[in-house]
Amino acid sequence: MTRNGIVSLGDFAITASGNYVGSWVTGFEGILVITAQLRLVYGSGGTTIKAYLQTGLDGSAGVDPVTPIDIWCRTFATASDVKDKNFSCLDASSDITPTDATLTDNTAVDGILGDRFRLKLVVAGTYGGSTVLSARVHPKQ
Amino acid sequence: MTPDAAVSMLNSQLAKHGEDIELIRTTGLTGPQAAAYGVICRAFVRGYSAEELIAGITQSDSKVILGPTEIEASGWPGPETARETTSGTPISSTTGDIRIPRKNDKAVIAGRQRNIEASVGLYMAGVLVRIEMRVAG
Repeated sequence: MTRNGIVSLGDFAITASGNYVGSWVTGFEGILVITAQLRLVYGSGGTTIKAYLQTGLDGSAGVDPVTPIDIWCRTFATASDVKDKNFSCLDASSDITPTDATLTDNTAVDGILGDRFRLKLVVAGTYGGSTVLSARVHPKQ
Repeated sequence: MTPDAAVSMLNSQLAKHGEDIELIRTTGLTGPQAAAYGVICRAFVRGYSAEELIAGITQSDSKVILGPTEIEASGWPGPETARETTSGTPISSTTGDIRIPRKNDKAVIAGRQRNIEASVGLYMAGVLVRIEMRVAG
């Protein structure tokens, strides 16, 4: 693992509806635990923001994963909010079928940690007033 | 000289003769609610000579020279973000090299936060080997 300390998965300035996709952040080989924080600083307008923390198991050097895997879906609406969550690959997990930005709202899949992570947002409504959603993770071996 | 050699030489000089600065990118609102992400970098910081004080540059400005090593290692300022329509169709945008600090990013130099007014990346054979910035404040 080459990542140490707090790693940014992006600060997304949210305006129009649609999808906002961060590029994959690599360097998490061999991690055992990852703690994530999603923080929304709300400005104005908008309807909902669904934030999907994703990992991947079938990428390689310079090649993005073919199969993004949702491990956390957190919804936000029209108020500033912060949510933290911890994920461990030591937890036994039952078989899952990977989803790409369709995981049930406000649920998480534990036990699946790949070598890279990204954040994907699905935004409904038009936000203004410098609405920003920030994602940070702290990996541990 | 190869790009790797150029970066290595710059890093060697910065290690011996440079100082630590912090680059900070802030997104959205200012103040305590701002989303900020920083990286500590090694840099040369110097003032401008009289001959360099052309329009837009004042004697209180500083020239900062740094390499890309710390920025690349940390992933500053965070990953690139792309827009798509709700059906997944990419919305094209041009953002340039995200490793290059941009106007209104901050540089903390000797404990003082200063504004980055301009910055440019220097490339060798397409590889970023050096960044030069003008800071004010």
